[in-house]
Amino acid sequence: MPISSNKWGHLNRYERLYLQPVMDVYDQIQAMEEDVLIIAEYYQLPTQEIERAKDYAFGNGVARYQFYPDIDMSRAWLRLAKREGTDVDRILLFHEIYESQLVIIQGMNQQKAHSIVQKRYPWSDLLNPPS
Amino acid sequence: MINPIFEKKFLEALDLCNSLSEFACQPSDRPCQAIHLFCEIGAEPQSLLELNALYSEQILIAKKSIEKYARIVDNWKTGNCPFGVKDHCNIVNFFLSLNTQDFYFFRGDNFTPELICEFLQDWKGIDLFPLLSKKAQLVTH
Repeated sequence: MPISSNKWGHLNRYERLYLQPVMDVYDQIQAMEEDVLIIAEYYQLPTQEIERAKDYAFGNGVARYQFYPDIDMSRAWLRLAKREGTDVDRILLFHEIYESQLVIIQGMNQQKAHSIVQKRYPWSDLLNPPS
Repeated sequence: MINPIFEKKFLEALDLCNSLSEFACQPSDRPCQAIHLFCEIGAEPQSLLELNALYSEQILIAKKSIEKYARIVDNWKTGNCPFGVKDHCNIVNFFLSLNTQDFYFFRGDNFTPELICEFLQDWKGIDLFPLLSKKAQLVTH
């Protein structure tokens, strides 16, 4: 899928400076060619669902919905792509599949979609144990 | 003696943190507003330390509110601070952990206290690096 050339156009100079290492991992993910097939096969999910979720979270969705690059998300995706995803990584995968479905296919507002999806797949809540 | 203007700003920032319960799973610019207030106080870093010590009990409550909010939101762009709202919560939590040094971050492990200090120095021109040292001492008056 062709990616917008100005993927990080929404970031200011501070954000570009401090988030560059994470942006690099996003580029690495974007360049991966077999991850979608591997994840689809491993989790027995339709390829197009994985493709849409990847593009939403790491590709065109980044500029369109002004996402910040997230090191936890990118690390999870790299593990998923190596068939080494954890239970929490799997929640992220389902979170992004469901959210991208609501936003891209159903045209729902991203914030509202996140709210709905978070109730079923609370990835960010599971990521860190309570302090 | 604590500067009463700084104390007022500090308490205002704590109120902003406590009010986050009104924004469950919704973007809020209140963490960003709190950062601006803490940065104003940060012009005198020792004041931040003293206020952290003086209001330690209130800080525990505020930190719980921040954590509850930060755990469920997306890292949306809000307010006029760089980065997203989850990052803002990280930075607010950083300000409220200067006395205890029990820094806890809601997003990523790349946003370290040292990196936050570097960013605040770059963005606001305040130097909080001395407060990161375990030797940072609370000066009593």
